[in-house]
Amino acid sequence: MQNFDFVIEGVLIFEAVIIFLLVICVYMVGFVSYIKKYFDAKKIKKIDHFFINFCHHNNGGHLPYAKQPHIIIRSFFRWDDMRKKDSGWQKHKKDLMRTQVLPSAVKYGQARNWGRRFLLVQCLLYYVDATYEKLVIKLVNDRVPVISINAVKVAINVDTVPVLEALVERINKVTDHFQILYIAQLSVTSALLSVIKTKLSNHEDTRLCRTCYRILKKIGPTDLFFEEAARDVQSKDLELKLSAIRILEKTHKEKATPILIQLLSDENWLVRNIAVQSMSHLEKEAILQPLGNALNDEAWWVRVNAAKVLANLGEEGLALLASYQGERGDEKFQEPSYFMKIRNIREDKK
Amino acid sequence: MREVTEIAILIVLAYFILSAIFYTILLIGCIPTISNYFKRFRYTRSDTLLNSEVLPPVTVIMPAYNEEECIVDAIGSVLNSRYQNLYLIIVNDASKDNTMSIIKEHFELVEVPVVLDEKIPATAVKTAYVSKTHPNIMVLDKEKNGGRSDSLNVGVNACFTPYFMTLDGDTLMYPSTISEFVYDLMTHENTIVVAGGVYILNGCVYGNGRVTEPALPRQFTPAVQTLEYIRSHLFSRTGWNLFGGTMGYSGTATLYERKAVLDVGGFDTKNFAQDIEIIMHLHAYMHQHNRPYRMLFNPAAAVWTDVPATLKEFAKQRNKWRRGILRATSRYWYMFFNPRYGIQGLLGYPGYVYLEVLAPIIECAAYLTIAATCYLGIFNLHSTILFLLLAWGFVAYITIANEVINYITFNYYRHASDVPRLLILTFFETFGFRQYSVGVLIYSTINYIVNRLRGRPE
Repeated sequence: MQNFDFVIEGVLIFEAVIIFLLVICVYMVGFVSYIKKYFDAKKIKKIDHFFINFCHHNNGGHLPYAKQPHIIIRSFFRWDDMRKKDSGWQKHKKDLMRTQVLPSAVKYGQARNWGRRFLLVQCLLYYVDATYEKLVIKLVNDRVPVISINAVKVAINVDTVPVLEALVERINKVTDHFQILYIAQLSVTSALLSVIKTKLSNHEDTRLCRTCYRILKKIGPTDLFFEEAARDVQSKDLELKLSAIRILEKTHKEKATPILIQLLSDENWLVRNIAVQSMSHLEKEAILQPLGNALNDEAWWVRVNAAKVLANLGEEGLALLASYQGERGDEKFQEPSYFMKIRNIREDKK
Repeated sequence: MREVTEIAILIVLAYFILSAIFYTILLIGCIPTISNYFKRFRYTRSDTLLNSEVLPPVTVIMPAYNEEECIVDAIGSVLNSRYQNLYLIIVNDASKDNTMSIIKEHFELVEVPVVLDEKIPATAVKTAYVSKTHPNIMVLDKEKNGGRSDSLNVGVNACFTPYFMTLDGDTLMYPSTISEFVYDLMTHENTIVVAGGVYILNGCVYGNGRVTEPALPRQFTPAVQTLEYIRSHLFSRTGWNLFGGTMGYSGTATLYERKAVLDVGGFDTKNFAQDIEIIMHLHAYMHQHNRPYRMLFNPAAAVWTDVPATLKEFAKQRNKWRRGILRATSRYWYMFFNPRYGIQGLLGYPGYVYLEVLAPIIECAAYLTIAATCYLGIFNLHSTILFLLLAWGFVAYITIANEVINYITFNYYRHASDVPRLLILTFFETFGFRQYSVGVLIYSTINYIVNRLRGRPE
C-alpha cells in the first residue's frame, strides 16, 4: 500500500499549489480592479475638463481617451446626473453625444461583454437617428433582457418601419411577463400604429395579433383598429379573444357597446369578466342593466367586477347595487366595498 | 481481512482524491463570478439597471411557524428593501405561539375575504388579512399546520407576480437582496431560479429589520456552522454557476419563476428538504420539456438566518435535511449520468450524489478502515499522516482558502478578530465537529432506509 504514498503526495502537492495560486489570482484580480478604478478616476477628471471647455467655452478640440468609450460614457452620465441645472450642459449634451461619444461607442455594438452593449444603448437614448438603424435592430434582438428592453425606447426614437417591425417581432418572442416590461417602454408613433395595422392583417398568427393588441392597450388604439378588434373578439383562441376585448372599447365606444354586452353571455367566465371590466368607460345608460344582470353571474370574479364598475359609476350604479342587495342579501355590497377599502388604504399611503 | 481492508482503503482513497479534484474545480469555477463581481459596475450603473419602475414585480413568500421572536424584523427587512415593485405574503402555519397576534398588532391587519385560485393542492386558509399600514402585505392564516412546503404552496397559490422569493420567518434580508436577484434576471435570459448567499444571524446585532452589526456567533455550534455556510453555501454554489447550477439552493433565499414552479406542481409537501427537491424537479422538468432555462447563484444577494444554537438542535435539523436529500435524490435517480439531462445529468446530479449523499458514508468507512489499517500494519506512520492530510487536511485547507477569498469579496464579517477566530474554528471543525456531523448523518441515513423499508413517512 505504501506504493500509493507517492500518488497521495502528488495529489496533495498539486491541489495545494493550485488552490494557493487561485487565492493569489483572486487577490490579483481584486488589486487590478482597484488600480483600474484609480486610473479611471484620473481619466474622468481629464474628460470633465474637456466637457467644461466644450459646453462653456465652445472649444471642442480632441476628446481625451476616445478609444476608451466606457470611460467617456461614465463621465457623460456623471455629468448628466450632476449638472441638471447647468444650462451649458443641457444645451450641448445631445451634440456632445452625437459628435464626441457615439462615434467611439458604436464599436460596442460588437462587444462580447454585455455591459459594453448596455452602455451603447444608454448612449443611444441620448441621441439616435436613422443611420443607426441596423445597430438598433441588433440591440433590440440582443439576448440580454436588460439591453433589448432599453433598446425598445431607442427603437421608438428611430421610428422607421424596419426597426419597428423588428421591435414588434422581438416583443412577440419573449415570455408573457417580460412582454409587460418591453411594452411599458413604448410610446405611440404613427409609424408604429401603421406597423401594427399591417401585422394585424395577418390574423392567422394568433400570438402576433395578441402581442399587437397588448401593445395597442399601452400606446392607445385608434378607431383604425376597430375592425380587427371586432373580428378577433370572436376568435377561438382565448388569449387573442381576451386581448382584443381589452382594447375594443378604446377603438370605438358606440360600436363596441353592443359587442361587449353580447360577450356578457359568453360561456367562458374569463371572457365575461374582461367584458365587464371593459365597460367602465362606456355610456352609463347602455350598460347599467347589463351590469346589473352580471351581478347574478355564476363566477365570483364577474360579480365582483360588475359590482366594482357599478360602484364607480356613481349614484345610479350604487342605487342599482342597493336594489340587488335587497334581492341577494348584503353580499354584493361587501365585494365593491372591500376593493374600495383597499384602494382607499393605498391612496392614503401615497 | 487484510485484503478486504486493502480494497476498502483503495476505494476510500479514490473517493477522497476525486472529491479533492471536484472541490478544486468548483473553486476555479468561482473565478468568473468573482471577476464579474469586481468589475460589473465598470460598464453598467446599478441605478440605471435597477431603479426603473417597470422592473418585474416580485412577491416574498414568508412561511412562519412559531416565529414570534424574529417575525417583525424579518417582515421589517422586506419592507426595508430598496426594490420598489414588491409584495409580501406571510403564511402563518397554525403557529402555537404569538406569531399571529404580533403581526396583527404591528401591521394593523384588516380581515379580507379569502380568494385563492388553488393551482397547487394545499391546506385551506382560515382567514386572510391585508395590512392597513402597508397595503403590499398580505397575511394568510392556515386552518391547520401543514409544514413549510405546504405553506409555500399556499403562498404560490396566492401570489400573482411572475417571480417570488422564499424567505423564512427567522431570516432577515439585506435591502439590496431582491435588487441583486433581479439584476441576474435582467442580465441573463431564461432565468428561472436565482439563489442568494446565507449568513448566520446568531451573534449579529439587529433591529428594525436591519442587521446593524454583522458578527461571528459567540456560541460554538452556530460559529462552527459559519465555515460550512462559507465553504458549501457560498463558494461551492458559486462554482456550480459555471456548470449550469447545482442541485440544491437554500430554502430561505431563492427567487423562483412562478410559472416554472406551478408547472412542476409546487413544493413537495412530504420532503423536509423541499428546497433541494424543487431544484432537482425543475432541472428534470425543463430537460424533459426541452425548455431553455438557467439557474444562477448570486453570492452578493445576502440574507441572515437563525441556525441551531446547540448540538442537539443541530442534529435534529440535519436529520430532517438528510432524509429530505435522500428522498429527493432517490426520486430523480434517472438523471444519473443520463445525457438527456445535459450537464445536470452528466455532472450536476452525479456530483451532488458524490459530494453530498456519499460523503458521510465514505467518511464513516474511512474512520473504520484507517483504524483497521493501523491495526493490521498496512499503513506506516507516514502513510497514515498522508491519508489524514488527504481526507481531512485538504478540506481544512480549502476552507481556509475560502475564508481568505471571502475576505476581499463577499465578506460581511468586519471585526479584526473574526479572521483568527475563523481559523481556530477550522481546526475544531476538522477535529470534533466534523465527526459529530458524520455520526448524525449516518444515523439519519439509517433512519431514512428503515422508514422506507417499513413504509413509514420518510
